[in-house]
Amino acid sequence: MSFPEDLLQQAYDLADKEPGEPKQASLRRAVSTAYYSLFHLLIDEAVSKWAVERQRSLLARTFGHDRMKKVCDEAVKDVKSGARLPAELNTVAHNFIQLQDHRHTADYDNSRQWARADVSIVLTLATDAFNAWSAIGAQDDAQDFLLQLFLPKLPRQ
Amino acid sequence: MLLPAGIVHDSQINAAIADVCRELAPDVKRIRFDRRADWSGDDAVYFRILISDDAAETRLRETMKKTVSMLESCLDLEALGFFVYYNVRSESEQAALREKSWEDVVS
Repeated sequence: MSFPEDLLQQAYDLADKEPGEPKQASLRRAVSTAYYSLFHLLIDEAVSKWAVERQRSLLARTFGHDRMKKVCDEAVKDVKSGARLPAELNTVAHNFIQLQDHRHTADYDNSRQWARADVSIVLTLATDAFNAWSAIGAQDDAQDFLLQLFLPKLPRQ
Repeated sequence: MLLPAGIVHDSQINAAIADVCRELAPDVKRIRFDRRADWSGDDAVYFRILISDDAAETRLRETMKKTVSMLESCLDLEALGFFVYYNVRSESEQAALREKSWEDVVS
């Protein structure tokens, strides 16, 4: 399995670690790991197109959470306003935004208690995004989306 | 940061919530919400959806899908510039966690 897939599996493992009474630490790490699985999936997909392999990890460090959120938001808004983008891209972008906020809460808000149902939905968001990406990853719209994740705003084509 | 509270009133959100809870009863027990900035400072609305244990155990995904879809079609908060986030838990989970922000509002 790839690193992002390993992370997604690890998120499931953490969520199921204590079947009876889950520890908050396990649930919070599961949520955070689910986000990072999608975060790394998109980055891996983007940098894999870079021809000089030894530079890919350096390139991967240039991706920022905030920039990625904004690009995802634009994609979701484009779909809503009738742009002819694949529904799967909307799923990836929408779920990324949801997961990112959940991750922030899980990592930094100690007052927040997580329930198994909530974590289960978080895992579903990540899994759905993986499946959606696998359906459209090779398409032009998906490749343009990847480019926007780390470049300044592209000129309209 | 100032939230654009004038754009959508709490009463509109509460009316939509009432519709959703009525339509999706007995699976959806209650929904509460907050308006605040999200982690990156964007205006956001956070919904907390409390569902029955039966719905959580046997149709969690469908229940959430229906709830989110109904809230989106009633309010379309994204079009008003909000980011919208959803959390869910079952009644028994809330009974164990006892978080005040998930309790019913008693007037």
